Amino acid sequence: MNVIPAMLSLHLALPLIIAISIIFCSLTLLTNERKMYNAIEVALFGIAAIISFIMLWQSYSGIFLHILQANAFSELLFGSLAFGAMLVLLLTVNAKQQKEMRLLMSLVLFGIFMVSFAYSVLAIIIGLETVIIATVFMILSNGKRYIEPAMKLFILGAISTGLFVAALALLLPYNPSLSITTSLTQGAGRFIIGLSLVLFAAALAVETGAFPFNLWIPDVYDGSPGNITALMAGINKKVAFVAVLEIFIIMFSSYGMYGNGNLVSTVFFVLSIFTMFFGNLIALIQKNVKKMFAYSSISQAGYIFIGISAATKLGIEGSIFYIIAHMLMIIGAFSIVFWLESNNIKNIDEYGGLKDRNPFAAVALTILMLSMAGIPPLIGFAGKFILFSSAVYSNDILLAVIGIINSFISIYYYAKVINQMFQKRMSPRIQMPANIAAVVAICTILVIIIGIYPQILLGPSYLAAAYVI
Amino acid sequence: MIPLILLIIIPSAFFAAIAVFRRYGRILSTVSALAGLALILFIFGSSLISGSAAVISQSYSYIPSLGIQFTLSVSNISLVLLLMASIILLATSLSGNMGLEKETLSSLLIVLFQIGAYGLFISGNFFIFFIFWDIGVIAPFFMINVLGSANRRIASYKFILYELFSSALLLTAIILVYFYSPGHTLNIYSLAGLYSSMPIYIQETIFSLFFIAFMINMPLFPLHTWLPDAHSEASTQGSMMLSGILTKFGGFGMLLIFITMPIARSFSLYIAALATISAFYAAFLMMRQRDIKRIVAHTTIIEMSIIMFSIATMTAIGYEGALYGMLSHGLVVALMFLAAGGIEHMFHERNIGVLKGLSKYSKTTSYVFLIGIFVMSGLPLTTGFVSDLLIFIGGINAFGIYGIVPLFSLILLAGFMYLVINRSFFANKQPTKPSEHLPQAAKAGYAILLLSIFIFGILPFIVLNLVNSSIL
Repeated sequence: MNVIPAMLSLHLALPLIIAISIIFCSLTLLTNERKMYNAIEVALFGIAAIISFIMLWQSYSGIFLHILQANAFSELLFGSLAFGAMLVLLLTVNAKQQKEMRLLMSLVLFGIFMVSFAYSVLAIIIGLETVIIATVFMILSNGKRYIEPAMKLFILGAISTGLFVAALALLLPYNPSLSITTSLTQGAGRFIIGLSLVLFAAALAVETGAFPFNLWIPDVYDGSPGNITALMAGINKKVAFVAVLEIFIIMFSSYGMYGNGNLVSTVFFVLSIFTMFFGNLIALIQKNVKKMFAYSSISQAGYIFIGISAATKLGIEGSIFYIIAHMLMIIGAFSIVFWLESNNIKNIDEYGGLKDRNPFAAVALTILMLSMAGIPPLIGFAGKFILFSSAVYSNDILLAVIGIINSFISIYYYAKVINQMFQKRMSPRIQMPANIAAVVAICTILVIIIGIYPQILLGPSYLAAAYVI
Repeated sequence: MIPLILLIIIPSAFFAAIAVFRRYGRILSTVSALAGLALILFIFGSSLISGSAAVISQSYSYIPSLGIQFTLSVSNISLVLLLMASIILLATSLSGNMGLEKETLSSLLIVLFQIGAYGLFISGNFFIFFIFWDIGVIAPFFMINVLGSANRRIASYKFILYELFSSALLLTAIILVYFYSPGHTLNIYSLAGLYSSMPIYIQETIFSLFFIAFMINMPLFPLHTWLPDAHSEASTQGSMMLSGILTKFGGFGMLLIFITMPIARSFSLYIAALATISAFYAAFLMMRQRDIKRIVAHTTIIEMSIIMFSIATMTAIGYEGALYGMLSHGLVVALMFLAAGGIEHMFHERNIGVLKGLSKYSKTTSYVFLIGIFVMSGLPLTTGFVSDLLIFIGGINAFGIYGIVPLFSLILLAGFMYLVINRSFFANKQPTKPSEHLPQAAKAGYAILLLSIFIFGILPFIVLNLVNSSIL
């Protein structure tokens, strides 16, 4: 027996790391705080990501207890999201309530694990719920004035779960195994499946922030502390996208409901157009940078839907690529927003002269925003090019044109911030803490490197897409 | 053949070097421009000697899942434009950032723009073309936004919105080309024979999208309004790059689509008419200007409209004229902007109503400006004469006697310019006194540009022999 490959299997390594992480964090709740604990926890997250990437490298696959399964798709997305979660954890190293944050972050990691490795719909719902509840407590742990966003998030999470369970209940008689890959037994009418599809779409639209279920996003993002906003925009939303890919593409294509011109495609076609326009047009008039990024992240979700609507391997590849790309961009951007927020800089006007106050932050934020606007040679452009070409490939030229129009609209509000940052203002310099600087640097460097040579991420995305569709 | 990717790697290395050794920014950017010029002269010389007409292509694997390769190609068009770009870049970085302290940032942006310009002119497929197009837009944006003069914010905003609108159209066109071309190829040169296999309405859509995108960049009436603001608010170096090189991106694209797309023939007459209108419109606008940089900016619109007119003749001699016109205009407009920047630096004033008798205290700059006007109005022994000759021979070949009409806009330009020269430069009543000296470095910039204007003016066959063998 080869010991190391066996250790790396799904049965052992990943659940072990997550269990160790949760137990470790629970134990440190009882002791005095030490700097080392944070370092250990960040390292555990990093190890989880690395193990997942090694599994991808070794093209490991398998099914565990009919609840979890491993394949290229789950390994790529778990690895990337765990990496993102590690970045978010790094942001919070200096926070007051870091003990609680550590524990809750390891619960989030557990949620990511359940969703990305899901084989049964149950795993997906458990994972999604864990992530949301953990986030609610994270917001609450910052003090009483955060009750409002926490409450909003909690209620919306509950609504989403309710819709999800209702959708599942409609399918249960025809798919008792609840596995996402088996087809339905005889007798399931199109109406029942259609109704279930709409309920699933509503449930996940709440979590991915798709139109018209996205009005909570700006409120909650703006009300929460910046590091948790980074978590919600960077991780929670992306976990929901993983669930979207699993449910709508893997599950509904085994029901014969997915494909170009089919019901799922049509639903996402409409969602995509409205989501892009809604986010972009409202972002145009925002004065607060955090709200602007919240609306911009809504519109970015619309781009991901383009690939799902295209219903081809290329489209799914583009969506997976863009999920990871946007995670990197938005975590980087919200880290800078989080840091400036702690210096009482919130509005676009107050960003004036950032170049002289902290050149590194100004340049990094510029690169991240240009990437979100889809300017080559950055990661956002590579993703958008694939998404738009996939739309043209499946004869949705309209969708591609609308996508391009929207990237053009988004330039207006990103350029507004860039314009402000590079103005001359006589203000004192402000120092960026090392941990935030590290997160920003990692995100920016990855955005540039993958942008210049997108094959690094496109290759794995292609493998993952090959599994999904 | 040397690897063409060196033309991108070398400026990128210098970009990194400037970011690290901030104190030596200007020297490093000059060295980078020199290295680029040396490489291009080598390629130019070797293809002049071998007389090879073929397009040289080199490919690297880039995005296999989409079948997109990193293809770099040099054709004769791109060689000429590369030569022009590297001469202007050398003059720009050598002449330095007059009177402004942000030398490092300025050098960084020049080298970034160098990457964009080289990459665009040697791109072998539209994907690479688009990537470098946008790099070439971002660098001047900061050149205006950070280093510009009083109204820089509005000007830079206008600039980026216009340019990125043009790149959005370009992206749409590229995706359509990718989807409809047989075998999903984006290769600019091998697409030449493939367009005719697409449906006519798709060809028309693609052509219109490309045309409008390049038209914004060139620019032509009625989408020219960004240019006077952007060019007059940018720093001197920014104006030189914008007018000298950035507007040629559009010209390069126009040449490519007119040569490769057969559908262009059905639009050419209308486009020629539009270009003529654009030239006259800009000429009349120019006469209302009092700011010397805005005047020079308007001459760019006139000259680029005439170049567009020449492309729209769709004759071999017209293409040659357009190419030579771009070479000529790039060099001369960089010279004029450098001179205008020198005047602004010395006298702290750009209004020609206030400036009087400049030649008394700043002989060099005044005569350089005068020579620039001679070149623009087509004086023999300069590049302007060769390009105007070719353009209007092409015009007469294609449109008969009407082909000469745009020439009158050049006469308007020359007439107005002599008025300016007479009033502000050589009338010696109460001459304005300079408050600062012209930096020696600016004189080096004058020398390089003047030298190349006369070399290509006296010995036009250097370029024309190459182009005669095959325009592509």
